[in-house]
Amino acid sequence: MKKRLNFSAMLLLVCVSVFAASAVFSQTTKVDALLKEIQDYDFGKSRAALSEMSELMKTVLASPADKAAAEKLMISFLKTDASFAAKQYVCKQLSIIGSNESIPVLTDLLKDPKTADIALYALERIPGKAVDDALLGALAKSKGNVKVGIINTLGQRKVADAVKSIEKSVGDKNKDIASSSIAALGKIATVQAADVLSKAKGKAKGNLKDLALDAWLQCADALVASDKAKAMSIYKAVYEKEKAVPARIAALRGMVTASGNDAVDILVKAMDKDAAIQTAAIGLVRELPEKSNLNPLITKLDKLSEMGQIQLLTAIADRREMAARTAVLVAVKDDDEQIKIAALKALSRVGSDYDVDLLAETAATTQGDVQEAARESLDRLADPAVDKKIIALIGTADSKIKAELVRSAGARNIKTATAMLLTAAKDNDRIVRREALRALATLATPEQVDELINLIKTEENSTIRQEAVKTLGAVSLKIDGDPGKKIRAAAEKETNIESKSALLQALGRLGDQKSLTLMRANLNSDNVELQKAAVRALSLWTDTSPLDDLLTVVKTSSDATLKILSLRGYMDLMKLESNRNDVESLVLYKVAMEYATETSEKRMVLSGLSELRCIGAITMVAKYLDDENLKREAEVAATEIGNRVYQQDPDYVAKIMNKVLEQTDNDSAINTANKVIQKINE
Amino acid sequence: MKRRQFLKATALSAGAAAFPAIVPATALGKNGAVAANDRIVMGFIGLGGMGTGNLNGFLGKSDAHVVAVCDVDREHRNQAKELINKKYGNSDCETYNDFRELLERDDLDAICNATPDHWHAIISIQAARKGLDIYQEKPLAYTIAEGRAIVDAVEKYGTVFQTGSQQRSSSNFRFGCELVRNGRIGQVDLVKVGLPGDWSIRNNPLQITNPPEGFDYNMWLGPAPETPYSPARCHWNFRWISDYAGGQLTDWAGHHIDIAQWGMGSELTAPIEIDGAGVFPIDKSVIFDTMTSYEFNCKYKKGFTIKVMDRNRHPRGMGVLFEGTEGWVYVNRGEIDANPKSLLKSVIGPNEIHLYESNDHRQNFLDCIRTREEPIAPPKVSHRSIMVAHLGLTAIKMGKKLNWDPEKEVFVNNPDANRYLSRAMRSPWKL
Repeated sequence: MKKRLNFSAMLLLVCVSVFAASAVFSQTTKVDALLKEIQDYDFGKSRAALSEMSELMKTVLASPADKAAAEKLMISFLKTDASFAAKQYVCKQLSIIGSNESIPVLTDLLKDPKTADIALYALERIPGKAVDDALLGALAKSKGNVKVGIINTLGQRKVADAVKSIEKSVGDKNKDIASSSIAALGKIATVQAADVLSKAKGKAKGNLKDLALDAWLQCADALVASDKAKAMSIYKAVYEKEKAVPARIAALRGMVTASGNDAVDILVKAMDKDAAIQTAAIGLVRELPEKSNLNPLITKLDKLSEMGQIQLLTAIADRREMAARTAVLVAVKDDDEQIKIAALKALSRVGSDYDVDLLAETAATTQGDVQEAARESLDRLADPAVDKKIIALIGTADSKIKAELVRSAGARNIKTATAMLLTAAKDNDRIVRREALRALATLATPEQVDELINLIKTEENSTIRQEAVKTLGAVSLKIDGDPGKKIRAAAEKETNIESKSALLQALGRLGDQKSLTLMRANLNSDNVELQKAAVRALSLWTDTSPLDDLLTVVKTSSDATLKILSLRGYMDLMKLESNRNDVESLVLYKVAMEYATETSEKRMVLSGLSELRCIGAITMVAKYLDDENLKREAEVAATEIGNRVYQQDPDYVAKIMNKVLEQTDNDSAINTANKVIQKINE
Repeated sequence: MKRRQFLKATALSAGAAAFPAIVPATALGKNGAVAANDRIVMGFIGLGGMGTGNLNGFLGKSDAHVVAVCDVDREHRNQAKELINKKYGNSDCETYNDFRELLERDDLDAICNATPDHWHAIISIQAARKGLDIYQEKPLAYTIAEGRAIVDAVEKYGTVFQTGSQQRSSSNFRFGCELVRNGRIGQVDLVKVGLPGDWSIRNNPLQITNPPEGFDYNMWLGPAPETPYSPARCHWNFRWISDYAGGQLTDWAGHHIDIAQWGMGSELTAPIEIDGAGVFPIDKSVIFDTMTSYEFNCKYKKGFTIKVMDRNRHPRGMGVLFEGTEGWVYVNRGEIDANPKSLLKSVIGPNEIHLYESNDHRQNFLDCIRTREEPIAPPKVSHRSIMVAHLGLTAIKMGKKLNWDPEKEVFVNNPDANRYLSRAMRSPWKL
């Protein structure tokens, strides 16, 4: 049995070996065949063989044997007189599969400026010291752009042994050679490279000087881990002795990030430097280690300009350093509005429940950007005790402040405030009621629908009642099953026409089938006010189901107001998503235009038409290009439709675009018309 | 003192308040009007489609003033110059063919770099060394190594750097990510990212020819491998050529992958395991060679997976779908959807995670120049967004599952894959 197993294993091994060998053979054959095709490739010719080879490389890469075989074939290929394009492609492949075996042929290509770049393309990616040595060897014999390329590649590869060779080129008269040498030393970033750059930066001028400082700092960045003293000496030299501000800022950053606990002192001293450095130093406060003692910076505040103080305070606040709170509170009282705004916003990060009163009061007694900042800060205060404080204050605050607290309860999503908000929704102050209803739209639950219905019934102010309608609609949408059930029942019982109308509108926001039946019943009522209520509700519908109902009112009603309300509602519903195609929509817009008597309604139709993508739409719009009251809207609509449909009938669309261009002074229409004409001409 | 140093030093005295709040331009003066001396002086490099879009955007900002443009295409730079001079009613705008000359100006505070991907790192790093602030188009960089170099340079010089991942400044994306971050859909184990796949070629002739007069093709190629000119190669279409970019995947990584990372809180790290497949069309064109269809999985240390795919494979086409144990959130341009729907009305409380709020990407950049704060899309974040795409692309090219060390930014136990991290530049170009 044992013998038999061994035999089986051997057989398997042989099979696998034969299979593997045949696989290699197979891949090699394919590579060979494709290379023969590629031999004739040139730019502008079919890339078929190249694409096939790229695809084949996936398989080749999976097997070291395939890879070696393919490389061998490619090396041979590069020795032929194949086209530059073909060799370039093969070098790209060698950049991925190449090994030391490829070095001789690639190095040979370095001798010719025409092929040097494609050789470096491959060499730069092939790992190993042998490539480094080959590049160094080639460097000595190279000149011009080839030399530049080799130095760049040595830099990219961070070849430490190249420093001495590259040093000779740092002061080269050829600026490209000098600049590539400096940049390469920065990438190599050894102590030796840093020393060469230390001398080079003294002699360099202009852009080379900037580059040398950049490279020197790059060395410092790389040396921080292994030779911190050396790194710090470079940073310090650039920061203290050089003139170039960008380099000094970079050096300051290097010092700060490398200094650990000493970083704060470095920044404190930098605050005394020129303004650009001071600004950079303040920015770096955000990069200090987490547990840095910022007190020395805070004590520096008094010596900074007012704006400097704010910059620093806010940078500290950005770190959520509570130590900044006292100083921020002082700045909140500053007379300068911008300082006040910045301080208010900073307070959201360093403040606590103690600051709720201040922020609410500021929000209640100011306007514009200051008010917005105070509100934003109140809404964002992260201290967990803030919510409780807001609820507590709602009960006692005067109206203006109460309104702000109520608003913030909604913005902060304080679910435990719902009961308090329902009470606030009955407040004597209408602003408080409005804000409470807005907050309840988010916070109230289906269990509170009855209370919201009652609020609608009892609210006397029509604007606030509309707010309650929105809230009732929003909360009812949270009900599973039949969201309008309670509202319908209330509406059917309601005798007060205003309340009934409001409840119907709340149903309109739900857009459910059962409520649609109720609306239709009201449309057929003899009471015009009820008809209007139904039309208003249908205008809010969430889909296009009531389009025909509204159109019927437009066509049949004798009440002018009702007709206008219905037409507007019809236009609103036309904007909703539907399964209609654009030609069908065009028919509906034509009907709307037929019944539109007011200019404003006609403008609405043109606006709706501008969304369509059919030639008929532009034809319809074009009719109004000469209408003094409508031409502006028609011009915009024509160009927008034209932009979508010009391919359907370019000549016709171009004619309309030219007409728009002849008559319009609207920049947007001019731009779009020109764009369309340009596309047509292309 | 050079202008740019002056502005940084006096940033706050111009009226802008400091941290933590970005003070909008409207607060800087009446109705947003800003005194000429307080305006941020900008130069533009790269005036193709994105560059011109950015130019128009910044020309509309009262606190920015554009004084110079640079493009290797004379037609582009002259069109931009006309646009600027028309806007300001003067003839002051200067034009450059070589970006290095523009960077030499001592009146600039910032630049906008909207060049093709293969130029991003060289230009932005040189600008950072000059002390200039930078608005740069995504993707951050052509390779992972170039991205790291940008991140390092920006940190080193304290540069204010905004990547053009403007979706971050849209409220629907921010809110969607806040819902996910705050656990509204429970634990999220899978995020599906849908991006475009196929090339979107603009029909320029493919034939090799001499570059048109006024187009410095050698400069356009810059660090990329030498290749003869054809009209189809350059403007716009460069995205579909691997010498300059990585196709739709890398073009869009700075948008939807960026949002996926934002939502998952992985914006400062990267996946540890990447595996997938893609299609590089054979002979569909004589120039274009990037992927047109792809799907790859990125597994993160915390256990979740971001699955990146072309839109034909994504359940909702384009966008980001976060799938949680208690629901899902979907975000796309101009769109946010969730299950349960009630999440869309959800309020993010004060003790929850609030993400960086910007409602105007370019204004956020200008505001941060004054306050010296970090903008909403800094390179340390955009480096990670494009990293996901580069990792996916490498795994697909290698045809195998790869392991990645997000800290060291190297593939684990796979030296061949590590070769893809950087690319040699055509001489004399270097970082």
